[in-house]
Amino acid sequence: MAFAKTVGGEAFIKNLWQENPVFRQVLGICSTLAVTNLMTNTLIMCAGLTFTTALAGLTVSLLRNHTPKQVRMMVQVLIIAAYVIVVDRAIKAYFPEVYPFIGPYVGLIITNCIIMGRCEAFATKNPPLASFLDGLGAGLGYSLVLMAIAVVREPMGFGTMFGIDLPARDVWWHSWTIMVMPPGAFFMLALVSWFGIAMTNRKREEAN
Amino acid sequence: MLQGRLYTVGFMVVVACAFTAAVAGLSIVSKPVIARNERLLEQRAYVQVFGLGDVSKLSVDEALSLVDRFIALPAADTEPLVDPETGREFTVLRAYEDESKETLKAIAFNFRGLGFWAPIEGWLALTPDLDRSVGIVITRHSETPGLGGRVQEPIFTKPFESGILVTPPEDSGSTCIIVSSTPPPEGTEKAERHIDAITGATQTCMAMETILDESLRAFRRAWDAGRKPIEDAI
Repeated sequence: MAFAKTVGGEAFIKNLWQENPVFRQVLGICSTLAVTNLMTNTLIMCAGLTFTTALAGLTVSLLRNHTPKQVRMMVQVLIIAAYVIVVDRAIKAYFPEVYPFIGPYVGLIITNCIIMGRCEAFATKNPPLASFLDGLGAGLGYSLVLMAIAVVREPMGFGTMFGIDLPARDVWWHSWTIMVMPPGAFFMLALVSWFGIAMTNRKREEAN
Repeated sequence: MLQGRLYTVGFMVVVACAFTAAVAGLSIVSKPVIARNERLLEQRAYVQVFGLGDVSKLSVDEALSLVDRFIALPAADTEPLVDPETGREFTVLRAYEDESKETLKAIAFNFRGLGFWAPIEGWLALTPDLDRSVGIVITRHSETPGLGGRVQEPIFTKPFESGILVTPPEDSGSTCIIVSSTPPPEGTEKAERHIDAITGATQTCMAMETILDESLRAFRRAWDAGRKPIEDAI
């Protein structure tokens, strides 16, 4: 596949699974624990982070040849903060009912290690398109793990998916309170990480 | 060396100005939409607290029309009611049975207090004699979604529509509203004050009990103090 052989394509694909930011690099854990009890909140958070990671990578890369080394991290924080404000305002304007719940976490995207990590490790050394793809891959890799956790937590905790009741919910469903609380996210994150790492290792062993 | 430093400072200034301008521009562009959303959420809260309609089924225009026809909002220059004991200020809304706004249906006031994680804010509507509840709406909270956050849902708010007794109890150790998982014996005054607690949200329910108790007592004092100057003048 030609796409996979390009710098950006390779980074994009690796970030989805092999170098997944959550279970391989253990980054972005805070929001993983915080928002995954509702799928709608998770989806909006993932969209916000993917948008920020991809565009921050692109912008940092565009400025990389002009940015003095001494202030590069300040510039990165400035760029990330600007995109986070864009996300914050967009949610406030177009998802006003979700904003009260997810707003505090959106602000925290600025401190998400995934964005800063990808900017510093990749975007400062690679061309814009590759950096954009790298950020996009990291955001989607993060989203993959978060949605995998949310798809278990919300049905178990609330008996719903995206806020819609599961079929015959009143008959069979019983709330697992722990799935609503942060400890439920710890258990799920551990299980997803275990599965992800085990799968990656098995593939590597088979390849060897 | 100096040139390098100047370049670094200049670069930072240019980049900071560029991004600040972009963010400020976005902020200005999105301000009307955000203000409209906030106003809409506010109007929906008014409709909900007075039980004028099902807000989930009402369009924006319908909600605005209901507020316009049946609710008297305080004028911009109206001074809020102040509790003489604590200094707490209350904004008062009045809902009417008719569009001519002659027959008072209910009075609502804003409340605020510390929940389990952060402040909880909302509106509580009472009958005109201030004895019983008409409705409640939580407009802001940071409680755990699915647990404490359920104070916003009908499971907690619906019972307020059936007229919970909210007068200060004679027993000084009791609260105006009792939020507990065990209902008091039927036929007692306590049973009339009882709201079912939410399973798994004990701390939020306890906080709500305290918030509502303090707010109801403070509002009653503010209401009485606000009425007194009018009576004296008459």
